Amino acid sequence: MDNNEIKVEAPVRKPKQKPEAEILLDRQLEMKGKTRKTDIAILASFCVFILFFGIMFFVLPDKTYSETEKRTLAQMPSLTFSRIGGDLQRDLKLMTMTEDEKKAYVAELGDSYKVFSDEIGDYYADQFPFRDQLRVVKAAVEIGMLKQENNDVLFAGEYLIKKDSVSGVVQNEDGTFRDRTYEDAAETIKNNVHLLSGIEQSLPESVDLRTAVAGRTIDVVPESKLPPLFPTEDETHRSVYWNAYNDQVQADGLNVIDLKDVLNLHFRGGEYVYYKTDHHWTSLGAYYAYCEIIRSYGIEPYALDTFSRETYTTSFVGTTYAKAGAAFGGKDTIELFRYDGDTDYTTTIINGDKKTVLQGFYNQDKYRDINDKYGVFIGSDDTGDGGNNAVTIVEKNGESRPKMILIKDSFGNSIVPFLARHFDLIILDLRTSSKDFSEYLSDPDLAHILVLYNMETFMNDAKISDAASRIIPYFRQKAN
Amino acid sequence: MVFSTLEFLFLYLIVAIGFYYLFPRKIRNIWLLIISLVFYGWGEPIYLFLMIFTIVVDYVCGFLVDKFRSDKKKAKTALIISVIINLAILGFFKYYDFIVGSIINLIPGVNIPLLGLSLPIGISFYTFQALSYVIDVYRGDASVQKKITSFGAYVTLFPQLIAGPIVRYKDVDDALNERKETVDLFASGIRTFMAGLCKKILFANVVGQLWANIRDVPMGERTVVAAWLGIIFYSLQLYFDFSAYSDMAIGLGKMMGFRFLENFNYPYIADSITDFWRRWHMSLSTWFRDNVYFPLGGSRCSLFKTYRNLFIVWMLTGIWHGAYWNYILWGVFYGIILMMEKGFLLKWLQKVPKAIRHIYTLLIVLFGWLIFVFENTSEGWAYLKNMFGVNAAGFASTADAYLILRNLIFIAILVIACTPLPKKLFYKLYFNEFKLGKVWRVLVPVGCVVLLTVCTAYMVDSSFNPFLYFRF
Repeated sequence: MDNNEIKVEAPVRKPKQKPEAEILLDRQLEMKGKTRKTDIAILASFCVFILFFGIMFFVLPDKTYSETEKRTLAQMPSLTFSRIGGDLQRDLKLMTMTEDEKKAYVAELGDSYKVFSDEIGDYYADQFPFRDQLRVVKAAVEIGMLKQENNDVLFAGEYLIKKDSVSGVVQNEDGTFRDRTYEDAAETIKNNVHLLSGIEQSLPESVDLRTAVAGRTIDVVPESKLPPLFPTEDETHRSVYWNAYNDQVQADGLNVIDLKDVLNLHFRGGEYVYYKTDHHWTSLGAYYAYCEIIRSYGIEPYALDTFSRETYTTSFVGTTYAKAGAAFGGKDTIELFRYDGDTDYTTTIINGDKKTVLQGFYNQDKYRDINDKYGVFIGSDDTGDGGNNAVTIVEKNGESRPKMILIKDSFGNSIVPFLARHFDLIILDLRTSSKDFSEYLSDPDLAHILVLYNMETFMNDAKISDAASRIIPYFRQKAN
Repeated sequence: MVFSTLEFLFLYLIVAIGFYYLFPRKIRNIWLLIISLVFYGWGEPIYLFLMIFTIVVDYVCGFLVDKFRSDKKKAKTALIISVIINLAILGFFKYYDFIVGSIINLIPGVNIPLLGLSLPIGISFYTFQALSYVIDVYRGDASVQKKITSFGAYVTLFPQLIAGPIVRYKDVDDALNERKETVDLFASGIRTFMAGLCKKILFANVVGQLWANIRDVPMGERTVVAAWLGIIFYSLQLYFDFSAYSDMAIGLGKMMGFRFLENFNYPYIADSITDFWRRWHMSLSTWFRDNVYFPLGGSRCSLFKTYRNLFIVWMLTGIWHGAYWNYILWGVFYGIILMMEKGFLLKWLQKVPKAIRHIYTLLIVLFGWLIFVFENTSEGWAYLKNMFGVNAAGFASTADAYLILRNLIFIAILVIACTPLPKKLFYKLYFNEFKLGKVWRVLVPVGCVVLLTVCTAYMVDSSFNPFLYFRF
């Protein structure tokens, strides 16, 4: 601190003394005689690079949807005077608030809180020229440094596996918000099991409820496929979720079907039961799940060789690819399990007043051209019609069969063709549909309610309480 | 606005620098002022008014100081007015809630409202810069700036506006009025800027994510090893983050013909804390030295006063970083260590091997950052205990091993990047000391494009981009 002390408060202006760093720089600059060409080249390459991308950004048209990332992209925010005024006003308002008031205010505004400059940032990132290719560059650099993962996706050999994570926020007792923790997620799991057992108890003799929670890829993948030293289930929160689930199932006596261990077994055996680039199980995985489910009803499942396996696509890249930005294990194959008479079914997708009718249960034509090929399975996640429909009904033509209400997330989509061989299905996705489905509860043929989720949904937003709030009062009222 | 964003690099910079060179010399400072105000107002337009107010006040005070040069008393009054107004603004926005909160805690029943004002970005930096102008003029170290636009350009200069380095007016006095932009300087600016960009995007953000992950682990579930790794990660993040900002600022300055002083000089290779502080955030240390330590008498007075001066400076350095007790504690911590080094430690250290001196320094710095990072001191205390096994989930876990394994190369690169080695190697390449033949001339520009591409890729695919020193 006391090096080169100089006299303070000199009366006249001192001659300037060049600081060390500047002398260094001067020396550097003097030596440039022989590096001048390099300097010009640096200057040129920097400017060309910046200008190229800067201009391309304006020249290339904006996209609304990214097929590789399977999400809508941020658009150019419009800058109006009222917008600026609004932002300024809000800033002023925020200035006069205390910390707590601020938090509440920001939470209340939610997504609309974004300021203009943030929106521009999102817009630039989303619409940046060659975004997909640049994401590959980043993934390659990360993997090149042997980091084993990128964007929380594990590069486990040929598999891309989404790491365990908890999403969402919860409200504290004092009204403030915080990020959910794995403990909150375990709480949600217990809560869901408890709600389900409440539903189960409210049901009449004629209807039974079963719950099946499938493992995520990370839950069922054999350890040998994971990167070296990757913590085992018992060493991470994954065990917390499954323990919470099993304990509560035991405590409430809920009727469940285990899908995790059986798929793990097949996975270990080297079978292609989960996609490499997507978080879903494959059709084969869904088949094994179907076997477990149907056996629990005391019915013998159709043997694997009664199905003919049709390759729908060999170039499927799914959701984990979208997150990871690149894959080094190739693309996925989607198979459709067909059998004689499988077009002899009518699928009706009822979305408000709109009805779509399909023969069979594959959305082939509709999804042929779109990158989101998992959408071939009905009731799949998509923004279009075949998406998380209000209700989808699958019936076998000219036959009256027992009915099953299937409450599911997207894992349920690929299991529909199998279950449909036994039951007429009423398919509900409560995450997107808030339709009152009590009309189906009154159906005299209703025999089963199957709740089928994967752990990711079950610990985050399974919306079981919606099911409970419809089913329990309905049967209670009926009983009285 | 933040340097390490796409909209800065591919929009703002093109417009700012492009027009800068299109315009004739005479109006370049005006253009700088305009574009800097846009830069500042980008995120929080509301505080532009405050900034303009500061410019006007200090411009007028500087003018008055110069006008009354012969009349010491009047000149001093103008200086004092400037100091009071600047510190009052800084104090109000930065410390009002802290002081009032402390009063409320101390004296129950007092009813003073807390304001919860958000801190104007960069206020600590630009206030110090504006102040340094009036002080430099008063001391005769710099001549008065007659043009308010040029003075405004100095205060708002977008490269270092938000997070330093704190440029003393006397260092840019001449450049402000007359500077020479050259190809060499521009190219040198690009190199410095690129170094900063890489440090920020490829190092600081990535290692910062690692620290954030460890920090977020609830108490009682963090192992001892994870706790140590965490604070090491934070130390790396802070250095790369902050020095990256300085590098980018210096680089951008060079692109427009300014030469700012270096702000960092490989602080993590220091072999004593005294040495460390000659290498870390040098512009702040210099500012405090010139404007507080020396006026108080520096070390050229009685032993007691010297220690008192050290203590005051370090207390202020702590407070400057933020209105929380941990920063004051952190300042005092360094104050005490520096006093000890001055008193006897440095003499002892001379006698031990260099490696031990390094370890000693790094450990002190590590614990310093531990105090620094937790604004809630009880949280910091708990973390410290965690590092020594209290409330820890064992010594180590497989998760730690996995974390270390997968970041081994990355951390090795970071550690090397803390030393002067990369720069040395670069200059060897640059001056063709490797005798590479014709490839040599292409290597540097190609490397520049490759690094730009990788940095752009990380910017495109990233949501984690905080700048730590914005809060100060």
